[in-house]
Amino acid sequence: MWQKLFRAAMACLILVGCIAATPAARAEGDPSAFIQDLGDKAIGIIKDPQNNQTQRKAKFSVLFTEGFDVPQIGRFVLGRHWRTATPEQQQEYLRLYGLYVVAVYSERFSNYSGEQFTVTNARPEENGGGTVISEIRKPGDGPAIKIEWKVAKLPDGKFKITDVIVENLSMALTQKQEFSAVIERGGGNIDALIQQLKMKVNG
Amino acid sequence: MLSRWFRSALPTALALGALTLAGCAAQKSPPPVSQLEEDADEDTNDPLENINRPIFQANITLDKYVAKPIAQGYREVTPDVVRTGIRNVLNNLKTPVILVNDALQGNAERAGQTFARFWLNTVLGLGGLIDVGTSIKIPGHDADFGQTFGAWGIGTGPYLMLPLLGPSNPRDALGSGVEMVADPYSLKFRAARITAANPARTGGSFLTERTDNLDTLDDLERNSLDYYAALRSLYQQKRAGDVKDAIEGKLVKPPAPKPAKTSALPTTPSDQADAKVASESTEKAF
Repeated sequence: MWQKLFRAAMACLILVGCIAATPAARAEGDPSAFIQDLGDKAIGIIKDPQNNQTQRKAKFSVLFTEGFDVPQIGRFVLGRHWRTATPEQQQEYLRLYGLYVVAVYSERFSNYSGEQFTVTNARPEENGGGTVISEIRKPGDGPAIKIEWKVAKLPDGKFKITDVIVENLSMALTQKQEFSAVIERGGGNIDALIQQLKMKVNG
Repeated sequence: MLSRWFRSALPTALALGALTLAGCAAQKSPPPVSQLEEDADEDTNDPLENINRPIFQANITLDKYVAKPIAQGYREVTPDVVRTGIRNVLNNLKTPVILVNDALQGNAERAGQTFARFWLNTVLGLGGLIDVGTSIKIPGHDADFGQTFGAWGIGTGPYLMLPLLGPSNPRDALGSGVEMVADPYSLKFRAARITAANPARTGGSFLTERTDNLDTLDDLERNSLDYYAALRSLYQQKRAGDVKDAIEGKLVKPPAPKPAKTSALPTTPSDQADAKVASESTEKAF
C-alpha cells in the first residue's frame, strides 16, 4: 500500500519536474526558440521605420550570415563536385557562394512587409538539431505560407540553419540541381560555375 | 539534417558492402553524406533536355514580348479587388474538377471542404466572386488529375517542356488532357453554345496566373544561374509535394488571425504560398 503510494508520489514528482524543466530548456535554446528569435529580429528590421531599402538589405545580410550555416550549405549544394574540386576551387567557390546567397536572400527578405511570423511546430532530433515548422501570414486573410527550417546544432552549441523548405520546395536542393546543371553544361568543370557566380556577384 | 540523410542512406550503403562504407568513412568532416544519395539528388529525370531547352527559350521569348507585358498592363490598370474577384470566379469554376480529384484520391475531408466551398461561394459569394469559404475558415486547395495519377502510384515519366504551356511530364500532361475533356463547365458551355466562354476562361486563367507570378518569376530569372534548371527543379519538387499532400490528405490550415491560437494548433501544411507561386508559375506561366 505505502509502496504503491510512494511510487505514485515519485511518478508525480518526476512528471512535475519534467513539466517544470521544459520551459527552461526551451528558453535556454532549442531550435524553435532559435528560429522564433531570428524571425522576430527579421520583423524588427522590417518594422523599423528608420531603415530604408539599402539599410534593410545590409541588416538582413548580417542576420542571414548569423543564422545560416553558409559554408555547410555551399558544400552540400556542390554535391559530388565538391570532392573533385581542388582546395583553391573549393575556397573560391565558398567565398562566391556566400556572397551570392546572402545577396539574393537579403533582397528577398527585405521585400517583405507586414507579415506575421509564427513557429507552429518542431520535430527535434537526437543530435540537438531538428526541423522547425513555421508560418508566415500576409496582411489580409490569405492562406499561411508554410516554412520548414532544418536546424543543426554545431559542436559549440550554436544553432545554424542548413536548409529552408517553403511549401515543399527546398532551397538547398533547388540550388544543388541548378548548380550541377551549370557545371555539366560547362563540360563538368567547376570553373564554369565559379565564373557564373562571379558574374552574378559582380553584376 | 545531414545525419538524417546519412542514417537513411546507411542501409543501402551496408547492402552494397564495405567499399561504399569505407568511402564514406574516408571523407573528412563535416558529417559524411552518402555518395549514392548525393548523386540521386542530381537525377533531374530530363533525358529530352536537348529538345526541352530550345522550347524553353522560345517560351521565354514569347513570354517576354507577349504574356508578360499583358500581365504587367493588367496589373497596372486593374485595382486589387477586381483581380481578386476574377481569381475567385476562376477558382470557383475549378471546384468540380477539384472535387472529383479529391474523391478519386480518397480524401473525404478534402472533398467535403471543396463541396462546401462550391456552394458557399457560388450562392453566397455571388457566383464565386467572393471567397466566402475562406472567410469562414474553409480555405481551398488545388487538386488535379496529374496529382491523382501520382497518388495512385503512376510515375511522372521524363520531364517535358511543352510549347506555350511550360514545364510538365507525360503524367501531368495526360492529367491536363483529361481535365480538358472532363471539366463539367467546359462541357456545359460547349453544349449551350456559349462559344466565348471557354476561350475567355482559359485566357483569364493564364492571365491571372502570370500576373500573380510576375514578381516571383522576375526574381527567379534574375537570381538564377540557370533559369531552366532552377525551374525544372522547382516544378519537380512542387509536383512531388502535391502528390505527397494528396496521399496524406493534407488539409489547408484556415487563416487564423491570432498567432497565440496558431501556435497551439497542430501543424497541417497549407497549400498556397509565395513558393507555390514560384512553382505553380512553372506549370502555366510559359
